[in-house]
Amino acid sequence: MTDIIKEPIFGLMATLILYLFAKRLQQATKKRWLQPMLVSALLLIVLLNFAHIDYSDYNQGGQFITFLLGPATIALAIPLVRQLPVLQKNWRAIMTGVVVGALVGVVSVLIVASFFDAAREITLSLTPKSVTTPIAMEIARSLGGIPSLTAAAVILTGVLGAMAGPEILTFVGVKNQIARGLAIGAAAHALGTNRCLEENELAGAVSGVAIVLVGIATSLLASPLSRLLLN
Amino acid sequence: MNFVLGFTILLAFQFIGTMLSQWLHLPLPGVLTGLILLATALATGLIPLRAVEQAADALLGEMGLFFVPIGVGLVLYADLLFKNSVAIVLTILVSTLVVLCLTGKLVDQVLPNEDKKVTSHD
Repeated sequence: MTDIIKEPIFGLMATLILYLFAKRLQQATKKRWLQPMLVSALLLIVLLNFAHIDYSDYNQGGQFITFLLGPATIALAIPLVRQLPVLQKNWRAIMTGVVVGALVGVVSVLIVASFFDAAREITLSLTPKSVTTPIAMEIARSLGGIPSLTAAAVILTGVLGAMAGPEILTFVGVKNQIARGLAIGAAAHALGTNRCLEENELAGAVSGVAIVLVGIATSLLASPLSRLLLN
Repeated sequence: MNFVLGFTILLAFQFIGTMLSQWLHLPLPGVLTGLILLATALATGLIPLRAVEQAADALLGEMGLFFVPIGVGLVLYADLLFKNSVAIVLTILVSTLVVLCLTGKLVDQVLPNEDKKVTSHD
């Protein structure tokens, strides 16, 4: 019994079963905040705690799933290329949104987290939190942050942006759909983009283009800015 | 076109991107270098979109699954997280709000006027 727990089959199977369950749960309840990734990770944490299973034993199987993150990140090139006409047509607005979004994203975290006295590795983990998860984790890793925390922070940011983003933009008087799409894509990556797509096709398309570009801009800006602002 | 071909292309670009980032000391993580190279190859027609589409869409469709084991890794940092929980939540809230409003407002400023008229309906 205890030996099979240390085999890859356990971590793989447990992850897949709980992820499928969490996905069903979200489909059934239609609650945006019940993100399958967060729900299944929490359920697995509870399971490991109850059954006294070490993370390293679980990760014998888990690592096979994590491996797929690499090719999945490369695959982000495909939606970007599909949206090339949108990028060409709105390049000035998109470039402005991408540069401003990435810059403000990094600087605001560095300032706010220092203000609240966050530990250094916490701050570095939160720095790429507006970027799509796989890119954000790579950035966190290269900065010396904790990729696990980054993944959770990115999902929470996405839920927040998707649930309240459009309302906040309306409240501050941003009506133009291109500006709304870019703001939500830059702040809340794919989860925000999905909400945009529900409301307006142009906003959704622009938001989708912003995701990968903000990721690239953030990875270029994060390291020099964190060295500058974090003593 | 089949899944294995697309998956192989994706892995090849991850490999090339990682090698280039290391050799040339690029300020980009290897996967991002690979992503940019693949986007260039697709945009220029060097690699047809249909060769990678099936594998890419399959992977992107279940992206959430691939971070689950890393998310479970949070258990290793429980103490650090509890100590910083207030800072974490407030940083996420404030920063998201600032990014949203500043990006929205600034992009609104640079858009040409004719774009503003045609697209402002809710």
